[in-house]
Amino acid sequence: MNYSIKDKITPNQFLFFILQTQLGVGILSLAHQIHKDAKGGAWISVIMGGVISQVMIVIFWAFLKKNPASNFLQAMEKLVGKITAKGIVIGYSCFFALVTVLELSEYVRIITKWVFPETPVWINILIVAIAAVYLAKESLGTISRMYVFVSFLIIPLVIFTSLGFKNVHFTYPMPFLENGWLAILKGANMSFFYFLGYEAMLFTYFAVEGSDKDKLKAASMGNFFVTIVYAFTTYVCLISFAPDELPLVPEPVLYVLKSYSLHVIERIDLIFLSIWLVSVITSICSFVYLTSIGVAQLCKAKNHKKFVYWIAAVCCVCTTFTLTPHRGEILDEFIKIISYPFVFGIPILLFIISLFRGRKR
Amino acid sequence: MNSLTIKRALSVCFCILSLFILPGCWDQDLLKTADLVYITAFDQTPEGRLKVTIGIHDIPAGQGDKPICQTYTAEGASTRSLRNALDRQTSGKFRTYKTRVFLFGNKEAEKDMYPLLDSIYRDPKAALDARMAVVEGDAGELVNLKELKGTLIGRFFEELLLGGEKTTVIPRTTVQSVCSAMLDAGHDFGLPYITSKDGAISISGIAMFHNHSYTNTYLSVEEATLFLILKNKLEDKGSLFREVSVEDKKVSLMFDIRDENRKFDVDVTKNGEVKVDLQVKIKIAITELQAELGSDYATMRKLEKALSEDLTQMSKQVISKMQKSGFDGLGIGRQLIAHHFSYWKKVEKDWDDLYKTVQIEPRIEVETIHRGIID
Repeated sequence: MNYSIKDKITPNQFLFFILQTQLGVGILSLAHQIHKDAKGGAWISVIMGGVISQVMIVIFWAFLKKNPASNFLQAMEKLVGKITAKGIVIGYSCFFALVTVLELSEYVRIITKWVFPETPVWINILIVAIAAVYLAKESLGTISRMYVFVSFLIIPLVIFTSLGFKNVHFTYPMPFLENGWLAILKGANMSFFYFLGYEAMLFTYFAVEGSDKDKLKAASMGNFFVTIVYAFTTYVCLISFAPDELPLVPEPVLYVLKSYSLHVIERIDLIFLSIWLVSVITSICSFVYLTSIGVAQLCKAKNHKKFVYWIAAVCCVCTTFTLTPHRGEILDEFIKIISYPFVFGIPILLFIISLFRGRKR
Repeated sequence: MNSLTIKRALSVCFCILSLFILPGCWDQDLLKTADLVYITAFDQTPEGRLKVTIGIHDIPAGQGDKPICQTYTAEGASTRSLRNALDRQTSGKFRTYKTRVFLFGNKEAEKDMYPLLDSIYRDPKAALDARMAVVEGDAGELVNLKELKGTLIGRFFEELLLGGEKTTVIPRTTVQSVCSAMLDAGHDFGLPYITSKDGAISISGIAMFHNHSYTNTYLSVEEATLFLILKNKLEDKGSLFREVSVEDKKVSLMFDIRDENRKFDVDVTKNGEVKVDLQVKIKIAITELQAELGSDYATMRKLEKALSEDLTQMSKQVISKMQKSGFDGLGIGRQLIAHHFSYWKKVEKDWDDLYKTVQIEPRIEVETIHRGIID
């Protein structure tokens, strides 16, 4: 018996699933990271990163559309044979698990630094992991409904960020092309990692109702929205910090908010963090869920539920090993490198193969 | 049935367990044990060491509800080490997240300020929106006053500075905005300059900084307001007192600046010189006019014209004063970076000298919109 996602989700739910998977830990450090290469043009890089993701979404879509099946493994088997297909699904499951670890370790690093310096690390991990598991063990429909519900939290996230406009210098990021287009492209290459999450399409596409066109529209809208939010936050950071100051501030969004206080709320950054936490949980939940359905497909299990616990436990344990800054960097680098084959290489290759197969028929 | 009870018991256990996890016991920081530092003063001792004076606001038990201010002083090498020294002196836990004001003695401000502030920038709990000011003489002495006319010293300085900001006497500078200015080559910041004479503490203008340190020159209160007008930083209101001559008569008038409109162009000429064109149109409301002048349109126009010329002249003085001390408060360098980047790359190294020779052409135009309820 093959694993297949039981309850179908609507294209609208699919939109929010992609959006919440993409929107994760990265938003806090995005501006700092991209600014390293692209300087004042970082916001251009972010928009370019969004465009690259959009192109990839179209390629994913074209490939998935051509290979209708009940799940990813089945689609692969038809295309490249049983053994390779299994290899690919194992690969993707591992990849998703690694992303889970990365997100968890980034989250712990930030929360320890900013709010809970004394609290034991494992508590911080558990708080998020328990919430994520609680959601991830449910069906895709339940998860998506939850995502639609918590998506309204993005509004205060954006409103708080716009508070940064209280004291800005529009000339700080100028000239945008300080280091030329090559630097912008380098930044775009970097920002592309912050958009990861749309590869969830590969596993969940089969569970979406509606025409192929609707599905593409939904995924694109999710990605478009994330691009806007990212570009906006990046721009606010760029105009709030002097060009030589931004390299010193790893979480510029929080730092901007910390420097203002409203009449009632003194530390806006803490409110921001608690809302951001929801985005982190949804992201982690998505990746745990994706990993577990990957494994469920391999094991031909009926339900992904029991895998969720084990995967989450393994991820949490792995996270505790990545918490020194040096190891964190290694993991970060490693995932950056392997995401090229998983997000670019394999899908494009499969797409080309499916093109040829299609012609033969 | 049986499994249901087990399930229920488990979930109750889970809830109780969560109670231990969720309240965040490790990082609790009770307000009642915290000594809240409201004001910190940095000075240089005659031997060249750093001296820190802090003012802690406290409500002592059993003496009514009147808060009092306690001050502590320590000397040492760096702010962090001093912090530990101060922590040993205070009874509770020494907490800086409520700090409202940082004062700097002018001697200390002349040195590099960044190392003093570094620990504040690093601390996730530090108050980044605290105000800063330079004090003529010893800043610690002012903190040691503890109380001024019934107001605790920390609150007094906070209100003094916030009031000065509202009336466009001093710029709105926080610890965070100073950091940006220090780390940017293109513009400098100014801090409120505070003097005390016979126990009366007042804002006396803007202390001009260059890069990380005080240039030991300051703009007077009138100059400061005009500088802020030139910078397009008019707050709620700003008032000036001027004496001009109209039709060979001396006219002294006091006016509020209600609105301003600025055109700020930084250009590089063909022979590689920087030319700054600065045109400001202000709308004023006359609050006091001591002269026997006609109130007809023509006379008023003449008054406006005379005032425009007078303010333009004064702006030139302010700007030359700024240039002499190397204080790029208008951010001309920033404009060059943003709009003439290749030129900036060429002159970056000599910018400090070049700034002093930049041609800045200010022009102020005055329009009266209001003259009070009498003519």
